[in-house]
Amino acid sequence: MWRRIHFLLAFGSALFLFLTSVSGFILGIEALMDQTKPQAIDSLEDYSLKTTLEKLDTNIKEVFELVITEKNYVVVQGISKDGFENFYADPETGLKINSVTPTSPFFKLVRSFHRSLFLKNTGRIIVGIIAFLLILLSITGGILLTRRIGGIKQLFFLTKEKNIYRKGHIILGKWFFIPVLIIGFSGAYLSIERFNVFTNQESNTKTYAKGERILDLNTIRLNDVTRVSYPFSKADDEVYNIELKDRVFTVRQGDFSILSEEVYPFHSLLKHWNYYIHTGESSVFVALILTLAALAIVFFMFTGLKITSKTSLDLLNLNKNNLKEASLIILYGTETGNSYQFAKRLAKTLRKENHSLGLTSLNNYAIFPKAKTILILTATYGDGEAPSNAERFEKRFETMVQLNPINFSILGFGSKSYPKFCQYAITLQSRLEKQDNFFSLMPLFKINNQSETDYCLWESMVVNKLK
Amino acid sequence: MQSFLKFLLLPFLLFFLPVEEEVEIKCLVEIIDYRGEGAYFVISVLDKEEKYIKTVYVLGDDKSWFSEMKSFWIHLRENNLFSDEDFYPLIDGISGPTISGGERRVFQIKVPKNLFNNGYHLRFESAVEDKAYHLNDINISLNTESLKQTHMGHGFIKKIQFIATE
Repeated sequence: MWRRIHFLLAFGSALFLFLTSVSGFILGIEALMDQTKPQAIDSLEDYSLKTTLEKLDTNIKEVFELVITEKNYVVVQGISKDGFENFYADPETGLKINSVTPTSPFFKLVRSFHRSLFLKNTGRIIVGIIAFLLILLSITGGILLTRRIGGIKQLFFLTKEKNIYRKGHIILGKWFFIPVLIIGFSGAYLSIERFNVFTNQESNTKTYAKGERILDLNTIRLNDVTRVSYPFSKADDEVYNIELKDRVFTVRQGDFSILSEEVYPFHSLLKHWNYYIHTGESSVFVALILTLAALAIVFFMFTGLKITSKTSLDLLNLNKNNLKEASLIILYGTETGNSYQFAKRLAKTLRKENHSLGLTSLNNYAIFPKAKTILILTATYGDGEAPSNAERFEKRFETMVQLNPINFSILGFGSKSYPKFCQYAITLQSRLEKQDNFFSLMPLFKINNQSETDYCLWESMVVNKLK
Repeated sequence: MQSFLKFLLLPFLLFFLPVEEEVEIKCLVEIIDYRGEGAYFVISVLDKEEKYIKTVYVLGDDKSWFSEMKSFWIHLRENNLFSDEDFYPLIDGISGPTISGGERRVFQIKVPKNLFNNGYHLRFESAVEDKAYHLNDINISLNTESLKQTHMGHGFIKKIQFIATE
């Protein structure tokens, strides 16, 4: 069931997910590039607000505003020796590093696309839904992954898998399950937040009398600051506005006594945190993980498509021919499509022998009115469980009694690198043997790693038995 | 030979040309409390016939949104100031980000002295994506007396104050 949900989610969101991942990858590169610029200050926590303001006062003619951006840039708006301008400053010396230049139009375009696909509010809703689907995809993917490798502990062991696409899908899943989940959550949050869903929370404001509490700028570290607005004039009602990440102070000129303190509501902190984790703008480490994760999503889609085209799509087009008329029924249980490929091959061979036969999955087990022989080809899923298209077989087998005595033979596919080699085929063999009217044509036959010679051996044995 | 002389003389001529005197005006803009995208502003000096004489400041760095300020945009189109090379050098101050609802911003504009106390107007046009455009959010006389007062805006601007240095 999880497999089907996972497939449908991926299929449904594929186009938009691809577009947002690719644009997200480009934005990740931008975030990484931005952190290499000279104005990106590595250790803002090393500077106190007091020293920075003092340095700016001595080196800049007049400061209007100081902003610390998400990218750890210290932006000063004011009058320098070059006149009124917006520039990046060094918090240690208060000197200009660079003028502020507009973001490159290319990245601006990509950002707008990533947020809203150029569709304004409609696009924002679509992107929000995609983020939500990404959460579901990572959760269903996570469930599949742990079941596939047989428990959470197995996450730390090497993956045993021959097929390169499946192996890629599993390894990427191990590495990027959590980053992708986080991208989904934070992206969905930012989209919802954009529509002002959380405006009901009020911030908490306290006022103080003049001189009651003095703001010690020495204790404020630059990494907590978002903006300092200077008083417009020397007038008494003109104050400093000091915005931190979680609160904002209005402070009197001269003695720096606090007039009011407003603590932001929880959702604004949540937004800040989600922005941090979704953009990676302030941390090279986060940006790197996000960039790789965006790339991983593209690879997930590619490897997922490769796996899918082998199973799900074939399964959808299954032709349920003459099951009612057939005297020989071939049932298959398949996860990767291999058993199905072998079942088709067997059907082709037996048709040449003029058997009237029907081919279907174990899940489609029914009362086959004219059946005399049933051949089962099945893989094993995870820790000895039924593959996804055999999950319902055992239940159906209990309730549906065949009209004629049945000769059966089971062929199990598996890999000896798993401890429970062909376990599901073994389970079926013992179950069918117990059933009245069911007679084993020959003992259970197991095939390791799709061995060609073993299959041919079994096939010729079956053909001979049925002559 | 003559052209060569001219070429030599040019730096001297430039040196002796009178530097255009300017009035420096410090502005404080406060924005009304609204939710949504940041506001775009363009500040221009107009003559009595409402003709654009000089654009002194643009707030908001994404030129693709300038078309929201319709009157200003028509002025750009009529005068073929589309391309970045034609447009940007005309404007002294392009401040980065737009201002959001409830915020305030301080900046400086410069106005040629011959436009000051001479019957010209200072107009603030404002626009917010998906919301509205205000042609005369602020439209005041450009003189010493007017700049001493606090002016209330008619659109996204709550109020505005000036300090002019001549």
